[in-house]
Amino acid sequence: MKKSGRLKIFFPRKTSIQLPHQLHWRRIYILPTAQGLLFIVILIGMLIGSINYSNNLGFLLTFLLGSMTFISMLHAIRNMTGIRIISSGTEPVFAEEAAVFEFYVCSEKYRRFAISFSYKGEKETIRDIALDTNSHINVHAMTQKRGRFTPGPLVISSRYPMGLFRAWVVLPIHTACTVYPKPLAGQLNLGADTSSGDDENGKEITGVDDFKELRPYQPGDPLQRISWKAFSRGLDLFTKLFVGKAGSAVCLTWDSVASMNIEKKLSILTHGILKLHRMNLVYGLTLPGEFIDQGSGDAHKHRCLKALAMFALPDKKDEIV
Amino acid sequence: MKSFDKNMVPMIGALVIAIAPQIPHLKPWIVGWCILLWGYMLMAVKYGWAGPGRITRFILTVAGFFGVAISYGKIIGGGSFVGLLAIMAGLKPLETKTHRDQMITAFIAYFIVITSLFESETLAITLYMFFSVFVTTGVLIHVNHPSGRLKESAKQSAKILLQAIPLMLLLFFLFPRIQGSLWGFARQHTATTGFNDSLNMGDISKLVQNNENAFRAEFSGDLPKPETRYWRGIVLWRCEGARWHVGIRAPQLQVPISGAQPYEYSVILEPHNKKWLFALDLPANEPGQSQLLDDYSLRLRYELRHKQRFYLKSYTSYNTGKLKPWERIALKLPAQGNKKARELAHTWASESRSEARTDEQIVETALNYFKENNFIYTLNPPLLGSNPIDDFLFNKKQGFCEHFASAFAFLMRAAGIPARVIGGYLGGKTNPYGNYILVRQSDAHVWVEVWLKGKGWTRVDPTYAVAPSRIEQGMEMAVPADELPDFLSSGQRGVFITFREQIRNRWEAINAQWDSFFIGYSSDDQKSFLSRFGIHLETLKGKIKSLLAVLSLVILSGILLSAGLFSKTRASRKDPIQRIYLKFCSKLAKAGFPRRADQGPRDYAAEIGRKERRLKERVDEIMDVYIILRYTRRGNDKILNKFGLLVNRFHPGK
Amino acid sequence: MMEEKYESIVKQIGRIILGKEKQIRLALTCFFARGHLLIEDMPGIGKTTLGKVLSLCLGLSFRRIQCTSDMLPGDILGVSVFEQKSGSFLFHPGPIFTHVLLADEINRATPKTQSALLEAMEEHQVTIEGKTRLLDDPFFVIATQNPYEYSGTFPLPESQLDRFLMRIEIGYPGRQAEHQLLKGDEPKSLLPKIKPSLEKETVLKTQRMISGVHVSDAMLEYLQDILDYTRTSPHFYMGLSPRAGMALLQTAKSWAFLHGRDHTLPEDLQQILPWVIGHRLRSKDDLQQFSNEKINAFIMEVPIP
Repeated sequence: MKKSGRLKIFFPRKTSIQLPHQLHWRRIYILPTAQGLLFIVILIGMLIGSINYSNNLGFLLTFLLGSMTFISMLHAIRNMTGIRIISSGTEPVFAEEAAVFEFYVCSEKYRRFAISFSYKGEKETIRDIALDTNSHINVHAMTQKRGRFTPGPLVISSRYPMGLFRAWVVLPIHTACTVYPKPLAGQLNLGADTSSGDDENGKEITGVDDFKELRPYQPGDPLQRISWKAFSRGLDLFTKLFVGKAGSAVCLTWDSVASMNIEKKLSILTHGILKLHRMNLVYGLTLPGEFIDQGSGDAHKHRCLKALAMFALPDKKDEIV
Repeated sequence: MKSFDKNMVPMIGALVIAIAPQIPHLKPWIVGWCILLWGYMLMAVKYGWAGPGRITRFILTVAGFFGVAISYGKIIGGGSFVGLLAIMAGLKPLETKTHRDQMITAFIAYFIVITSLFESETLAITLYMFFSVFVTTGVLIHVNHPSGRLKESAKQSAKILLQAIPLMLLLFFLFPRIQGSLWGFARQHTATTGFNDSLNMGDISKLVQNNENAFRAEFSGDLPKPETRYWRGIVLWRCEGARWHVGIRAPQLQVPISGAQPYEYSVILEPHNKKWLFALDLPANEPGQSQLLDDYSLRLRYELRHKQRFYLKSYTSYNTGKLKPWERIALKLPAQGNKKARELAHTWASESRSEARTDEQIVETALNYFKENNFIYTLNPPLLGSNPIDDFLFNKKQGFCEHFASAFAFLMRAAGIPARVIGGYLGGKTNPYGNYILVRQSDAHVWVEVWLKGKGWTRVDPTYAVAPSRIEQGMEMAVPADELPDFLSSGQRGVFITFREQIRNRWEAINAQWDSFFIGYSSDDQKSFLSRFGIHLETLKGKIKSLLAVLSLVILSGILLSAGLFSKTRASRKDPIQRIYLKFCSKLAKAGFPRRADQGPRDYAAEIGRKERRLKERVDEIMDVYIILRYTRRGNDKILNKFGLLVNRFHPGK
Repeated sequence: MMEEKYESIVKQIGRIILGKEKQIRLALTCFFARGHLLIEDMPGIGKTTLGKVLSLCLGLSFRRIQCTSDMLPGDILGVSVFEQKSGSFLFHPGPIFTHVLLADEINRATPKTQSALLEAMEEHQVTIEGKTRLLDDPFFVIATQNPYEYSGTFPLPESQLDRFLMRIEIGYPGRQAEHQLLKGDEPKSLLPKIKPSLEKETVLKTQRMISGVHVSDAMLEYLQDILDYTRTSPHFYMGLSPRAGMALLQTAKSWAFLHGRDHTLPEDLQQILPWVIGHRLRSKDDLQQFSNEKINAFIMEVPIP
């Protein structure tokens, strides 16, 4: 406890920062790299040599290189100062995949060279940041388990120009990514949802089962639903409308999977949802304490997967970006 | 693998450029080694060959080090250091896959650059040094900028280099210098030309074949007349027949000569690895770490390894007074040999005694002897026999200045007149573009000083008797044209030649400037430079002061530089309206009303009006002016001035 | 002068449509910017009344069509009917030949009818049976749709939504306004009492003057920053089109003019922004449109240059 208290004095601003954020030189740390230290040792050697032989040209070169080292330090800070991180975004990933955090970064005044973005211990992304246009930078972080993944603080660093100094900034940016369970093929007992009674009363929803009518094509309709037969007869493009009876749709439930292990169960359900989605089926999901009505499409898929991801975890839905 | 390919060519380029000036100093096999290895790596990059493995590299490294050890005889010290560096430079590109290796390659290039500065100290090599540093830095930047283009890296390198120059100059002039070396050891130079402790017949005629510079003398006032440009260096006391030797070390001078109108000048002496210091006849002060001896020669306390500047004062007319007891050795001759010469001298002496003539007349007689007996001044004198003075005086009668001088001094001593041989330089070249005299090895000369009653030591140049043009016009005129070394023979003086001459003069003048500012910069210069600012290095307080001055100047320049580097955007510099507006906003922010970045001027003004009624009127007025300037067509310079005034006078705190 | 007149119109309309001043101002801005207005809300909230009052106040002709799925393009544009008496075709202009057209529940019309209407809106002319007929000037379409009802509707596709300069919601009246509404006379009964405050000529002149409102380079830069922001921010499925940029510019000019200025300010843009870009942007996450609050939050991320 005591230790963390002391640390707070050294790193007083650990609270997360709001985007957009502009790097201020006061928050930039700078230290020589290993090569930089070696170079400084070489310079000291050169200086001693020049003193010993009182060689003025030796002095000249030593001071030139020394001054250049100093200037390069200023350049390193300058290279970092004023970078604007405009926004961040991310898309859900499956567990054990790398979560990709997208940052939009913008440089004012001048171009920035070889800026590295990374999360602690993760792969670096090194990019130049062009002047006055927003650069789009993907920073990777490996995920381990489903749920809400928050990477550590973002580290922006640079060794530019001469590699003798490393300037860096630690930014506690609040980012989080939904991590879906890792899909796992397994036995699924797909029960038809019989709770809604007989067919006549079944709610009609846009589905895949029965052909209902042709509708003039609108941009955005799925291609496989276009009535090419009608088109070939010289008619306009028409979209085939199907209806599915709600009662005949598939419903995934907690009991669909035999396995007792919760995580395994969720993984198999994830796999099931992906499969159902690929088959363009109408499906619903029932979990203990969570019920998602039948539907189809991308948004629906993500809703179901999110429910699986967050299942039995402390509810932090509001925080998910 | 990709960065390996991309950086290979620039890296090898930097090494080649760094090592080029060293090539004449390297063993041929090392040059071959570098060419072979680099060539291989370039081919490997071009054709996608795999680089050599670890074992191959290890074997090559060991082989290279052994090669250096064998060919230089030792692994530490001397030229072997440069050899080792070159071996490493050859090897390093073989293992440059990692970023670290590539950086170390650049460091090696920097290191090679500094070694070449220890070989030569000319302006040309200095300019080359900047070029080489520029290239190597460009490569270093390139290595650290994986996606960059070489052109960008070069630009950045030039930028950093130029920005570093003021700081470099500051450090150069203010960094405390010490005299001599830290540990006393200094690297021995490879053969240099110049005078030795002794003088043999033929030494000088060999020396004048050399075109190297000996020193440069800069005068603040008028130059001395050509016939008085005798640059005194070595006094030779001991006569060993044809050979003359320094003999003894004269005691330190007690009372320096004085007189009217001294010449004050500085000599920038090329390193000669000896302790001689050449000065205009006769010097009267002890510059730097030197001693003025009783025979009026200046002796350094250390061997001169690097170009250095000495501030000197000399009188060309003087009287050294009585012959000191220890100077009686100026009458000694070897016990035997050169009988005929001794006899000749004795006859002169007895004649003069019988006719009650003065010593001056004996000197006159001797000079007349040279004049009247068809002596020939030549660069290629014939070899002399076992009694060389006799052989020269009575048979061959052909010689160079050292022949005349040593024979003359021999005759004088035999006649009972104290005489010593002086080694130094005569004349030198003036340059229309600078107030200095450039003295080269080819100006080397030997003459004689005799002691005469009432006059003291007096300079006598027997060469003058034979070839007066040597003194009056220089060697080119005195020696037959076909004997002259190439660089001295003028040939036909065409327009082209004079043009070339002009260019050479200019280049030499620039070099002279360079030498006196940088190369010759010594602790003396530093002292006088700093004392102009009231800092006296002799005292501890002065030392602390100078340290503080260095620190504060470095910090100041750092601040100035960063101010330049982090200056406001070009856009805002171009846009005075926005600059003033931002000033206005920051004034308000300090008063507790910061503007949100997305807040327009009206909203901002309204917000301040709500929060602080007292400011409302003034803020509204300024904001209206701002809106007119920035968002309407009606803005003009007059309104802009008004805006600036309003903002300047605006003090929300009060 | 224009400002006063504008204020009086706002007041006049405000007497009938209670507590919706902002919406009234926006509708007028849209009208003077020569754009078309889409009102999205549930029935019974006063959409039709707004359209009617607007046209009355401005002294312009007003027509209303109730869209249904069996409606044909001809029902809007007009048809040529063979006249036996003259033995020739006679053109019967449809309701589109008016100054202010209220298309109620536009999403109930079939796509074909929708596109006929939208094309006419865009081009200010209709082509019927090969003959091009110019529409009246000014021509202003107020379309309404009920976003909460999907069955039997044909939602306007993205590309068509872009044709509307602005999309507004009216929303429930405030408690006080509703109190007044419930207590007072039926506001529609006030309609006949409205006197036109402007003439057609004045309206046209005003529209021309709005085109001349000054937009400084600094303003354009700010506008471009906003466009860039939507194009690069990961919040949006797709950035704003250049047409959207033009729309923003035109609307900001109109807004500035109606507030008595001959130049635009960043505030003008901020005021109208949510209504102009709200229907043109969709969230990257769920492809839904953003709420105005969220759009306002986004604007705050773009600093004024």
